[in-house]
Amino acid sequence: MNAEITDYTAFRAALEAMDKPRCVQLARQLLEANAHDIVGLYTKILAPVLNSMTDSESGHPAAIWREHVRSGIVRTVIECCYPFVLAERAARQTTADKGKVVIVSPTDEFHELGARMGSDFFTLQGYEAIYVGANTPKAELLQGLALEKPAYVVINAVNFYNLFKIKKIVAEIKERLPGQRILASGNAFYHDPELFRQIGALAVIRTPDDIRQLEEEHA
Amino acid sequence: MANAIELSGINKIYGTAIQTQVLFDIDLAFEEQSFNSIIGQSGSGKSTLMNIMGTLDRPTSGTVMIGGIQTSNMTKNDLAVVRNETIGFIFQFHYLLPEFTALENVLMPYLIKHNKPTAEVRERADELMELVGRSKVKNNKATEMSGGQQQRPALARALIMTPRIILADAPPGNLDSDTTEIIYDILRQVNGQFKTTFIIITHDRKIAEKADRIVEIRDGRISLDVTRPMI
Repeated sequence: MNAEITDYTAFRAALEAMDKPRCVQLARQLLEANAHDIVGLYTKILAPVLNSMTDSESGHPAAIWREHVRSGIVRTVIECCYPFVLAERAARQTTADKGKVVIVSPTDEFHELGARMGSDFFTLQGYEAIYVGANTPKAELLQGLALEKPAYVVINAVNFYNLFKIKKIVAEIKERLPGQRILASGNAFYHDPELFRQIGALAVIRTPDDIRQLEEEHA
Repeated sequence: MANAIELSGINKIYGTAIQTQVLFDIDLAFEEQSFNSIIGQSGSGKSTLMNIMGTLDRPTSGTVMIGGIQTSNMTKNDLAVVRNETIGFIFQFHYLLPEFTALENVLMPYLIKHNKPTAEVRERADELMELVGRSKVKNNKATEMSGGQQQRPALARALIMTPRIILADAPPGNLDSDTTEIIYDILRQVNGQFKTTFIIITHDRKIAEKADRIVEIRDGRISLDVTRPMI
């Protein structure tokens, strides 16, 4: 059997059983054995496993409960990977001099695993990623941006209702902090390639390739 | 899927001496069987838009197509027929007639056209009262029900003529969140069961975010129009 499929299946079984120690152990083993790099672990195992289980259990009476518990487990796995993120960046000899990137989700947006993974992609690319997280009030975001002066701010949305809020936030950032480069990320954006423009963002970021492309276009 | 409602170049100006334009060049179409919400602040023009979509008001310019039929040149009587047979309305305030029972109110759109309900229509009215969870109080007069309780017979009334389209101006936060959830679930059930197109004007995030498409009206223009991503 293909090794990738085996890794996926093993991690899926552990997550399905909501076995946190096993999930962390498997992820560490895969990274230590160089079976996957960080991007591979996140995009080929963690995200697809979590998404597939959310889909398959959508009718289950405890579906939301289980999704939350499993999301918590995956979050723990991601945090446990941070030493590997730093090691991988060091191995790439990427110097952290590309500036800061602030990653946030607006108020009432509580889905943040994708954004959290994305912050590690920016770290790997040589940015100082400042992950602020879910449910960030607009006023605090504006203050933080004024203080940190990041190269980019990435605003994440999974719930498509939050696009309306993000459009207003983007307009206010542009008014108060002219020149601030604003990126969009999250499932609310990915199905419509023009949506990021409609909310006023510079680009939409989904993969490390999108970050590299952004650098080429805005070098 | 064909469009249930299609608006082209809609402008609405109130007044003659002092003119106030509330809608500006609105192009908007809603597919049959879709479940949509329209959001916007008070005064954004969304209720005017609903009235124009429902042919309760005429645009200053532009065209309104209902089920592929151009309504611009219809007489008032013709429009009334289109409304009664094609569109069900749920208003912010339920407007149940106080001198009639809940069931009689549900039957009212049929009675306007036919005078007397058939056994089949009575049965349908009973089924709809069951659907909205108000069978037990169907013989109560509207005045004997609370505002929240009256909302559900109002929904059943909107459905009695089996409309292809429901236009709803959702109550502005005067229902508790559990009731809002129940009403939303009923609307979704009707959408799935009867393939009814829903366009709901709402301030309530819980309702809006559960639609498949959200259109925001701001200062009389479409500010953002987004569809729910497929997972």
